[in-house]
Amino acid sequence: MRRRRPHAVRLASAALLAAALAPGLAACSGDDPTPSEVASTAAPAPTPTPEPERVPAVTESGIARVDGRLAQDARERLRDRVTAAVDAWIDAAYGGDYPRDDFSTAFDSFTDGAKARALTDESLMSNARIGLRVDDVFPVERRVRLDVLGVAGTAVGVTARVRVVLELTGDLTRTDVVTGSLFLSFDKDHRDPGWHVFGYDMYRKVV
Amino acid sequence: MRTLVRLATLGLVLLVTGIIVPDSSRASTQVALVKVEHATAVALDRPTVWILAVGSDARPGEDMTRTRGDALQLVGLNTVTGAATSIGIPRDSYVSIPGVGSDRINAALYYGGPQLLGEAVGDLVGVEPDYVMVTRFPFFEDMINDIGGIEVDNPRAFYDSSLKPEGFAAGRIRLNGYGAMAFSRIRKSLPGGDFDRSANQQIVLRGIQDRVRERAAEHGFLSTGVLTVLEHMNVSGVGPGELFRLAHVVAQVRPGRITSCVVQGSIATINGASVVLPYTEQARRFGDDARDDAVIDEC
Repeated sequence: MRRRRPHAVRLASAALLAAALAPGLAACSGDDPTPSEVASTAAPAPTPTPEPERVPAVTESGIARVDGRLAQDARERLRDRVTAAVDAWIDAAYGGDYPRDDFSTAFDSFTDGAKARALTDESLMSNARIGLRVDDVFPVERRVRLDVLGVAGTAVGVTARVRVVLELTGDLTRTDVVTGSLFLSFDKDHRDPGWHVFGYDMYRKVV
Repeated sequence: MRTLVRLATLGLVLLVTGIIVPDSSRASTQVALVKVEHATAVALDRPTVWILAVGSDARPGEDMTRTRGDALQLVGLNTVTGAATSIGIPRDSYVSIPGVGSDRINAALYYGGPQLLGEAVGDLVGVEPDYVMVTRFPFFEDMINDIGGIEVDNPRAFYDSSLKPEGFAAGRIRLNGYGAMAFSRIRKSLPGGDFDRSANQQIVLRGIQDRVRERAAEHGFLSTGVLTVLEHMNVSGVGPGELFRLAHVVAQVRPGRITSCVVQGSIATINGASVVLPYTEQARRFGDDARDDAVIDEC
């Protein structure tokens, strides 16, 4: 089992490593120099500047459409609550430390029935099948657009259109795009009352 | 067989790619074959849900939940497999109505509203519906028009001198709201009378499901449908959130997994009225067969 390291530490290490190796790599190049490279080697060596640290994407969320009636002052609160349910899935299903094989909390924001179904689709709905072959997962994009059904001023159903772009590194190094829709409703009888995912229509592709 | 088709398709893609993509020495075109995974699911608190769909013959101003049901279809939806089944019940089926006595089954709506009708159907088929949805035909027509009409496979040509004098052609036909209403209601010119009419109603239900499935991914399509249902249908205390979930269940039914049967019976005259004496053993068999998985193996 490989040692797990916090994401921020890994990012800093990668940046330092890149900065330290950059001049050496240039010196080792076996390619014929281009005119510009020749010109640059004649000048004094520039002070290496570390690459700016990449910041993991945070979820950009908004209400795209309301069918029916939804009170204006309820919209922001709805967006935050539904986004929290979606984020809980993204964080636990794709985020976190790697390598790992524990994805037991991936579907905590799903209804029991939807969780059971998602477990049968776990190669798409989480990184459970590849978690041990990956050292790091870097979220490049997290976007959520909400289509809301409002009745008598209250939201009763939401379709969350989701797009998540993930850069995987390790034995598997690739970029994955997870897109599609999550269907949520407010479940007051759930052990954790609130917005829960009761269905999904999702795609995952490697680009 | 499915694997064979997939392989053949992939072979075709590769063949076409090889033919039409220029050689890399002459052009820089690149081809990427991207694997896309797809998963879809909708889950309720139980795997199979049963809905009694009732077309009421209420006239304007009448309470549609206290008239007689003209169309009775007990629809089962399996949220796990995407299967769906419809058990058609002739409206003139002469049965025992709890607390009322023997009468045509559609009279249960008049005597006791959707609840009693659900009980009467439950007694006949052995499956108590989870929901009873009652609509009147003008709304039904509007709904069909709102979803853009439907297409159905009509097994036989038929007509009705008042509802559809020009008739319906056999084969694949398109129906607007009025056409779907007429297709569902015409009885006299059908060889099997009430039984064939019930089968025609199931054909229309298939057409509606096809259309809903086709358009479900359009933004707001299902939500607008829920709002329309709330405005025009009696859904017996079902909350809008539950309707939203049911709409998604309907949209996820797989066309290849739909079965439908009509409860048959003999014709009799009781108290001067023509009725259907339903084959209760057959009705029970349909219910027993489909109760858990929403599939009837054989009519």
